[in-house]
Amino acid sequence: MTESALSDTNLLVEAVNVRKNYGDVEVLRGVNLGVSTGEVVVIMGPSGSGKSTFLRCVNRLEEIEGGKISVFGKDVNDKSTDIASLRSKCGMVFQQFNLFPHRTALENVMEGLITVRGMGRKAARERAAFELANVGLSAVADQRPGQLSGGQAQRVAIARALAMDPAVLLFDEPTSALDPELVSDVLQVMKQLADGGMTMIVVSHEMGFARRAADRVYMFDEGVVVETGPPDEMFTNPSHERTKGFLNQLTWGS
Amino acid sequence: MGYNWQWDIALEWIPWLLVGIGNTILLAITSMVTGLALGVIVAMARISGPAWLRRLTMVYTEFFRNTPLLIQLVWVFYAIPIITGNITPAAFLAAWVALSLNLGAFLGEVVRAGVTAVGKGQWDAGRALGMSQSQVYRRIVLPIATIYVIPPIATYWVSLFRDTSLASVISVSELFFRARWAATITFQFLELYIMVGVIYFLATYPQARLADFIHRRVRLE
Repeated sequence: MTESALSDTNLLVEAVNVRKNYGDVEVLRGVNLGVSTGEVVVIMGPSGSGKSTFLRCVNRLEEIEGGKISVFGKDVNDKSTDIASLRSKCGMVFQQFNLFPHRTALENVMEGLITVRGMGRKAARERAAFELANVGLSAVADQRPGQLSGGQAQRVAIARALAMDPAVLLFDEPTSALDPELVSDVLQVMKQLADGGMTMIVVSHEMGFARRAADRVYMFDEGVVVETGPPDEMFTNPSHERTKGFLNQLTWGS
Repeated sequence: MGYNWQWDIALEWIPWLLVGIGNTILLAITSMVTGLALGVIVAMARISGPAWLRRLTMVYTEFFRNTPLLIQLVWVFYAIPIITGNITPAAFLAAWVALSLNLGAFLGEVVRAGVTAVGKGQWDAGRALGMSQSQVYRRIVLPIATIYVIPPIATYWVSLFRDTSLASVISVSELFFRARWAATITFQFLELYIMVGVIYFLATYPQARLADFIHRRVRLE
């Protein structure tokens, strides 16, 4: 039944009325969102609006209290869903990179291939080297994360996610922890991925990226989607007061 | 009143003392091995054990961290014959058990701190790749925690090496016990206690330097 639902809607990720609490605090109060194959979706909103929490619910790093999230037509929170297998097809990139500090850049990319995909070391090494080359980081393959700049570390993290051949990539504020001059390196890689047809959900305040790469922007506020639409439309002519206020703050000084 | 220095007599006892340092090393190594194993078990129990086990290990930890090692040595020394029913004194066994129990309490806290210091982000990254709980533990969390705990363990090793001298009070034939024995026989107390101090220093100093080196080198960055 879920299989047919997927083919009907062609949605790779579908969230229906998703609710999530931390204790008494309602973080998500009925989020609806859909992402079809090849689509790039950017989620914006003030801090505390629940956007990062929502992203973490997509691959069940967080459990939800109500509603339903489906990925590839499978109910993420259903006990019979093989969540590890599902996660391995959803690449995730974190604000703080979360690279494995005891491994080199290359070994970071190899880790999932060996442990999760069961690949041999030699094949994993070749694949990892290929992915690092694609993000322009062959030169730092043997360095540990502590020796990398933030921009390099985040690109290694993207390579680590890509090595798993994900069907969708989840980005959780991928440039928020970076020095301003390093942001563009990461955004460039993300833009290439978007141009290459990768399905992406990106929590980010980078309006430039959203304008150039996103098919659709979702504006979160207080745990719900207050507005959604194509970036140009939303940025030039926001219909909701909260969206206007938020965009004004983002563009302050520019 | 002048003290009659007789270094020639005292120096004759060097081979006798060297047997003592052999026992010191043996006691330190065996205690470190079991103390560390105990520490890991205690840490695991306190992190993910059932409530009753967590309470039990907490009582153990606090008891052995907050009573003097000297008392623990004496306590185990007299407790063993009562428990086993064998009245033959087993000094080395008692010292090994007491030092292991003492070290296990301290290292349990060290290991626990090391494991809990591995950030939530590492768990997120491992799980997001599709790794199971135990894979994240084995391949990510424990290797990182190991790097965190090696420097403090090196420090504990150096103190343990010195603390073995306390085992002399329960007649373990280690370095200090043998020095005292030799001193009582020769009456050359000062020479022998100076010698034993020098031997301890020569044995401990390189280890302390090594521990410092480990502190500088074994870290993530």
